[in-house]
Amino acid sequence: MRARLPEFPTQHIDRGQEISFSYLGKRMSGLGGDSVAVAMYDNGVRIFSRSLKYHRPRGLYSLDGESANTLMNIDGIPNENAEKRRLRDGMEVSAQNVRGRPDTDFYSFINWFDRFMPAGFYYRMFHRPYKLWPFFLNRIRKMAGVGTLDIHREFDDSRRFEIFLNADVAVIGGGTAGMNAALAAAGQGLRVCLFEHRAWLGGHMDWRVVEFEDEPLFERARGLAKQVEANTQIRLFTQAPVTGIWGNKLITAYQTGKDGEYFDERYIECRAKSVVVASGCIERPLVCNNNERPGVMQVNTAWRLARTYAITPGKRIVFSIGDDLGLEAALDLAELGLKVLAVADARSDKQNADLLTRLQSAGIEYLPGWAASNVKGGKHVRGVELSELNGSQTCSFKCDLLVASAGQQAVIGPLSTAGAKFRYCTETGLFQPTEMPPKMFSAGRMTGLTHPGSIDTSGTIAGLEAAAACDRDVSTNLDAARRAAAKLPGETKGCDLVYGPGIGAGRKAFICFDGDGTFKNAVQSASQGFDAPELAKRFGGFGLGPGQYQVPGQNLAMAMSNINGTPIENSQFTTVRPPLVPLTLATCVGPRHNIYKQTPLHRDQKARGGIFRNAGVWRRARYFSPDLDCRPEIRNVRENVGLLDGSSLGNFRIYGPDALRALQRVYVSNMEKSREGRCKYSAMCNETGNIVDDGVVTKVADDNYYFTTTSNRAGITIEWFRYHTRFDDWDFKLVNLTDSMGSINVAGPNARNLLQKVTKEDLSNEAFPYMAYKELIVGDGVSARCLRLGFVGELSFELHVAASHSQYVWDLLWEAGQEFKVHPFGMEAQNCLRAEKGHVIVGTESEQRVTLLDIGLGFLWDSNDTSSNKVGAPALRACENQQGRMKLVGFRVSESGVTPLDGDIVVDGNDIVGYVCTTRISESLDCSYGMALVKDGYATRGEKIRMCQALGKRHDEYTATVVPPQFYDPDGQRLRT
Amino acid sequence: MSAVFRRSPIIFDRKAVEKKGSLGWEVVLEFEGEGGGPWLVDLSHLQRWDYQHMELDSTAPFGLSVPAEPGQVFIQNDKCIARMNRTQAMITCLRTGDSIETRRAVEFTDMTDAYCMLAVVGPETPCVMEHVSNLDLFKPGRKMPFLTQGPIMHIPAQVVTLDAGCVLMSFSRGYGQSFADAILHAASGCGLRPGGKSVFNKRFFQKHE
Repeated sequence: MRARLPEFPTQHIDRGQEISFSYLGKRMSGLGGDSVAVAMYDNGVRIFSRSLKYHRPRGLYSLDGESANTLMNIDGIPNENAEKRRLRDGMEVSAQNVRGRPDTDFYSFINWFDRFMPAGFYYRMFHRPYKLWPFFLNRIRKMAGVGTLDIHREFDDSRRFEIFLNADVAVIGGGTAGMNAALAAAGQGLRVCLFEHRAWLGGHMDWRVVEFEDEPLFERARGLAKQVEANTQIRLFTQAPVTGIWGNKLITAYQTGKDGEYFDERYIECRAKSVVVASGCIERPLVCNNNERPGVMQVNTAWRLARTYAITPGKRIVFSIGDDLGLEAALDLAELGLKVLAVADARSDKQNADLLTRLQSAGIEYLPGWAASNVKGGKHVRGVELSELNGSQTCSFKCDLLVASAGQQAVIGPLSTAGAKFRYCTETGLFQPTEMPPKMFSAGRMTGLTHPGSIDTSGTIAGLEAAAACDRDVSTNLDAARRAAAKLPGETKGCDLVYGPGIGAGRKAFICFDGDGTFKNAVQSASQGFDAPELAKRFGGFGLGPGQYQVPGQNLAMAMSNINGTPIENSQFTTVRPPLVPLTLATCVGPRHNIYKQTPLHRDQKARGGIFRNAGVWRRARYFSPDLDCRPEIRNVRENVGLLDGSSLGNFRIYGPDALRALQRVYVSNMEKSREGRCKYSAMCNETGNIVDDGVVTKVADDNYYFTTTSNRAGITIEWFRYHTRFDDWDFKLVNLTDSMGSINVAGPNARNLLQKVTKEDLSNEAFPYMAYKELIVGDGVSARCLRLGFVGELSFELHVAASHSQYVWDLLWEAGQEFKVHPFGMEAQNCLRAEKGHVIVGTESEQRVTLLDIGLGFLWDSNDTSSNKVGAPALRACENQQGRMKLVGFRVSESGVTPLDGDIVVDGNDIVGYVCTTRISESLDCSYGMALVKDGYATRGEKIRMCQALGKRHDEYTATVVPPQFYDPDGQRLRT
Repeated sequence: MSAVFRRSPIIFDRKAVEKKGSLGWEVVLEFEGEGGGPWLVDLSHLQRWDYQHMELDSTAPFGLSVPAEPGQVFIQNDKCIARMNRTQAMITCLRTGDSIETRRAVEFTDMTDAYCMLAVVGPETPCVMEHVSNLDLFKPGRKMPFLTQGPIMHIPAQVVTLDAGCVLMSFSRGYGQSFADAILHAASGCGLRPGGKSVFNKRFFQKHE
């Protein structure tokens, strides 16, 4: 660290906090408040990176991340912008896009081969003969690009958060216009959110020492900042660049955490009723030969290095500027004791006379109507040629720093993403909005104002207009503010310099730093027919880098107009797209919270060794042993008794005078046959006759039913009923009880014996037959709904109990089942068991090409009912006797040693004639079996079908025989026992 | 045979200092190291009822007045009645152990077990909520308490803003544990930590009695 300039109140550094970091393995140090780039510059680093295409050296040009010059690898994360990243102790910084070190980059020789890389070279060069293109493509891709992500490295993303704000007025930009807007809106009692990309408020007034109304501008700005910070109606977000404004005034931003804050970065969404954009201006780069050589920097960069960070930007400084701020900066640096040799001003008139007088007094050579024409040097600036704009005179200066700008350009990004339209203003030299989205307002420098009082007042007006858009009556205040504004200076004449004198072909005059886009490339683009800024942008690669429009934006539009000979006011700014500033995907993603549904027995299942898998919104136990074939679980159900946690099953209550009519509408069966104490199995179809759901319905009382759905359909069942009865003024009510009920399936030959131990109800086959429904009391008085079903093909009792009682009931059953060696079984075992039985799962054995009839469930449909307007009935009727439809069939694999898989295809020669829905190896059947959907001609019992399995490079075919899908206990004796 | 117990969908990874049994539930009144808030309080044991009626305005379930507009909430006799839509209201007994016998009334459905209910309590409640939802739960000028139906951490929820320092969130019970874990992390920057029922009682009953 070098000696810094003396202390001054404009500075934002903590001289008491020395921070150590390393750059390319060398220990360096900076001060609290420094950015990484500033600290590196203070430590003598001048070449930060190499450019994308030509590997030209690149240095510190801006301080707000306007280009890719200072993209570094910081602590293992590539593409971090060192200008914006706050310095922290122990940081490890390295350069990227270099082979070797930045100052001795191996690829720097490419700079001399720019003739081979004209605009659009990627689309035109190396393509003949075309077979060579992949070779070059590979090389180009390896050499181009910036950072490299270490995909094997674990990054800690636990300190990334998200925050959602609701505001009446959002203000973008924390300069004095933005602050005045925020205060004006807050003064109306509105909720205001203010976003500022820097760590402090004040905008470009923050480092300016000239006085306005007897007060230095920086002090004035800080006074305003204190008011903002103290205002409880204003929520202030600093270090929070806005990334876009979306529909309905949704503003996205992200914020970098300061020392001691709980987050590293947090993603911000702010929904506001009205928006004030006071995003200010950035400098428009001066386009001249070698204008990006290290040692060329913006006016604000040099100024802020000195005023904000107390760093000497250069020893011998030349200015080439286009506005009064440049003059003010040159004077200020000179007053700080720095050697300012000359100031070339691209303007010939409209300069601030007072500044010119002071410049003369300071002995600084002033050249009106001049600009830099060529920057001399190699890896650093060694001198500069200044020329009169008409090229008639040239002079040279030996210097190590050229402070260059062609004036200002408005930061139009936020407004552009919101849909504003812009037009170049010949008076201000800025692209300014001509059409604003509703309830959006602009203020400050971006409107062409430069006078501090005018800027402040424009903010007040915009804040009041935003308040009015929130239905506040501000007419009195607004009139007063407008009257005040009328007395203040208006818009200032801007600089219309397109490029520096003597640019020649512009081979090394860069419009875009990120993509190495030169003036020559712009000319080449136009000559190829890509003569509009939007076309040249893509063909020549202007503004496609991380800085997006900031460096090339206005210059590209002006250059293309100049090349085409068309008026600049007819030119269009290229579209600016979000995100306006680069941010990490991790910040966009936010905290990766994994929110899913657990059954009431989740912890118990886990403790019993359950292996969980996602099943829709639920996480359920799929296996209970490392044997993923689940043979012990299946055997236990077939021979003994098992317990299944089926709590994800959909449960509903429907009641009211028209409940039955609603059931009749959505179920395919005649629901009038639902009786108290009985379960009725039925299905729902969609309009095209595809089965979408199945379950059982039981009548609890008159006009009061309880029904189940599949787990996946539970979330939309109520909407399904409402939608299909929307034209009927029926009186029925639905209640989703899915999460309310735990479901325990007691299944196996010993199921009755086990259940009988926990209830006094008569569970005999006579008292409680197959498909019956009872309300039981289990244990010490817990109510349970008991459905005697048989999905797994064995004697089964499905207990539905209150979710909070589920663990109690499970414990009861577990304790009672010890004498039967009861064992839990999971979803996979259930799947095997039901497949053996030939019971279908909606969505597994059905799809959009097959109807209820095609999968063998036609018996459910009450085809005689035409009065209920059953959903899907017309479609079912239409295809009832249709030939050639796909059918669900069972199959047994004829060959031994074959392990078929779900999804295997059924083939006939080269034709695909079906696919396997479910297949497993059955211990009880001693063969591979399954269900498949096949074309009609392949569904005949006894038919031999060929199946094909493609696993990577393997390609196996095997033969199966079509059989009825009921493999196990086809007569249903076991579940009726 | 063990005594009947009921279990909340949520277990906080904190040691309970004081518990109370009620209707089979074991309600934690205070956790160790609760600190100064904000707190996340599990209220899943509180009894809740779904009430649907075609003529909702003309009824008085449990003697409670039904709010006239959807989104309005009334607090009466330690019960919270929130109007969901034209025909439906949700009734919650806010006092532990409070229960209502409704076996004969067909319009009522016991929803105690259908929902997980969490309260965020403390002055930093707005800070907590803006970390987990984009809903405008503290809109100035809107009379509290009020109901908002929308996503919290992308999960459909019913949110009752009781006041600026207390919000009740109800959502499908199955999400309970993973939701609670997520919100505790998401709002860790606001200092959110588990709190016992006493925290809610102090805030709510002192204010409404």
